[in-house]
Amino acid sequence: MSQHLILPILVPLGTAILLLLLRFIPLARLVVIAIAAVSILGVNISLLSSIYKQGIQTYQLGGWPAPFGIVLVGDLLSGIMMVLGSIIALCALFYSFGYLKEEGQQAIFHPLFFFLWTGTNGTFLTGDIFNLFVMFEIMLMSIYSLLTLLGDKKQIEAGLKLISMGLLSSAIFLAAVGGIYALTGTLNMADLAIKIKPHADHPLVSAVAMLFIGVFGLKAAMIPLHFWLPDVHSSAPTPISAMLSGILIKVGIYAIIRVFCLIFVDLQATFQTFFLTLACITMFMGALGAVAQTDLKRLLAYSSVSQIGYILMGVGFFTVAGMGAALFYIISHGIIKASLFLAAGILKKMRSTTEMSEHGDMIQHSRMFTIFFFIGVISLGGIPPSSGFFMKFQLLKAGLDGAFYIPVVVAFTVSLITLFYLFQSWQKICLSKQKDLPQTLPSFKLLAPVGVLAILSLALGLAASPISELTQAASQQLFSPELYIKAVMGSM
Amino acid sequence: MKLILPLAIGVLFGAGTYLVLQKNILKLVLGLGLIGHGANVILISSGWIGTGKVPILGNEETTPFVDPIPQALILTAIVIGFAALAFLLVLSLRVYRDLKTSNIEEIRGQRG
Repeated sequence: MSQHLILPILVPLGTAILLLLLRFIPLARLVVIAIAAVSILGVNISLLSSIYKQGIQTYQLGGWPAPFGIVLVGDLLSGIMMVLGSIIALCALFYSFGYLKEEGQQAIFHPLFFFLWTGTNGTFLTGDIFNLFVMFEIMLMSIYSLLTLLGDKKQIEAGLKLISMGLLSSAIFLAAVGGIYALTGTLNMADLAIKIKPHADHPLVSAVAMLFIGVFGLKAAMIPLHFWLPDVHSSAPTPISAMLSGILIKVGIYAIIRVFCLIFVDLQATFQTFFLTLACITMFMGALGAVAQTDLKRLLAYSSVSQIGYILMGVGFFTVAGMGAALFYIISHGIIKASLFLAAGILKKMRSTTEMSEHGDMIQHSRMFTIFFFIGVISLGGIPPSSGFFMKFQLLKAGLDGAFYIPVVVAFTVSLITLFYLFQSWQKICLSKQKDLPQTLPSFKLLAPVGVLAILSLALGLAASPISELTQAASQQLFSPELYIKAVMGSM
Repeated sequence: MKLILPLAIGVLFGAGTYLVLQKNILKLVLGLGLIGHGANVILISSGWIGTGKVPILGNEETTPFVDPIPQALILTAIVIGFAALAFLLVLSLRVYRDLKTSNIEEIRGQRG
């Protein structure tokens, strides 16, 4: 029983409400946002360290004991995801001050942003399958509004796609919850894990598992459920694009990991080939889509699809090493992709387009931009000193150790394609000669978050061994679900 | 009742799917609403036990009860679905005003 587990949900929620009340006082809002954002990051880091030291922590909402009430559970996986989310959110928040010029836009943007933060933290913490649905909806609802906030035609069109997708996926989610409840009569994930054991061969179990893959796959944008992602990620306001690609598509992966390492443990072997096949297709098709793009933000969006394939591959190995590598990949890719999206936003600010042919010669205008963008490119491409090398290396090594040769070959090929399209985009934007000069140069407010994330991804490469120790420990914890069940259900 | 609920689910999902596949944006909205209600009916049927009684403390002798949890769940689900659907409706109104069309094919053509 640890009370502070509620803080990552309560603090952003309170901040969002406070920001709505302070709508007309910009200075007060600024102070509240600064204090809240830093304290959420602090709370999440302290939570992760206490989980690391003391093991899985639980908090029963309203004091109702485990199978009846809603439980919040903090294990290493949720701790890592929350810290990653907070780092990206902090940078995106700082960036949004430079990106949204109008006072009125900021007054709406920031409360919604904190609601989004509430939803992501809640998703990672909850130990109840229906509460997971509710947290998903909080998150999605904020994204709907944040996406269509600026009212651009492209954004409205993307919003239409995203909301239709969201409504459909929540209907499927409800159907799956109904199926699993009819079978077991419980919603608590740990209790589900116990009660579903005797029914492992029941046809409803694999049907429900398939429905869950559909729902979470839609959120994670694995092919063939990726159709909404390129439009949404490329047309969203840039700080939201960074959040979407950095953390929100990983929410889908998180949910897949959680469900398959806790509830459907017995189905892991059955679904392994399915996962690996989908992972390979997602990697390859995403990369092919990225090569064909002329718009930087769309290129990055397709690249996110492709990288989700890598993460899914790590998950699909269902080995401790593979899962650990996938978690390292989630951290590393989240930081790099957020940095690259924020960099693309700078280009958008300069010439109000992210078409690569409209840009060029950035090396003359902004050395810093060129360097940060380059760090992002080598990181995502997987060149040694960066964290990107370690994320790919660990994943491929885990694959070879588990004798999954075909996925490893596909992953290696796709990483060459990745390197190709990233370097091409960098060369077009930073090196190619362009006669007319841009009117505005990137401001510090926009450049600083890009730099912080780029340096962080380099640092992650240098500190790869402690971080991968952490992810391996998290994966160890995931493969002993009895720890999770014991923490939630007590000595039952 | 054993037959009515599955039939209702089937009709709701079928009609919803048919409407979602149409080209009019309003039909898309209605279709998604129907699918959402189909899911709600699935959820409520998961707590159904034949001729169950109302789950109120005090008349314990008249078992069996209907499970009250799915009813609480769909209450939440209905509210959330309503909010999302309302947002979608407003958005489609905005699309209609901006682009002067309610045909999804034409909306897709606006990219660029």
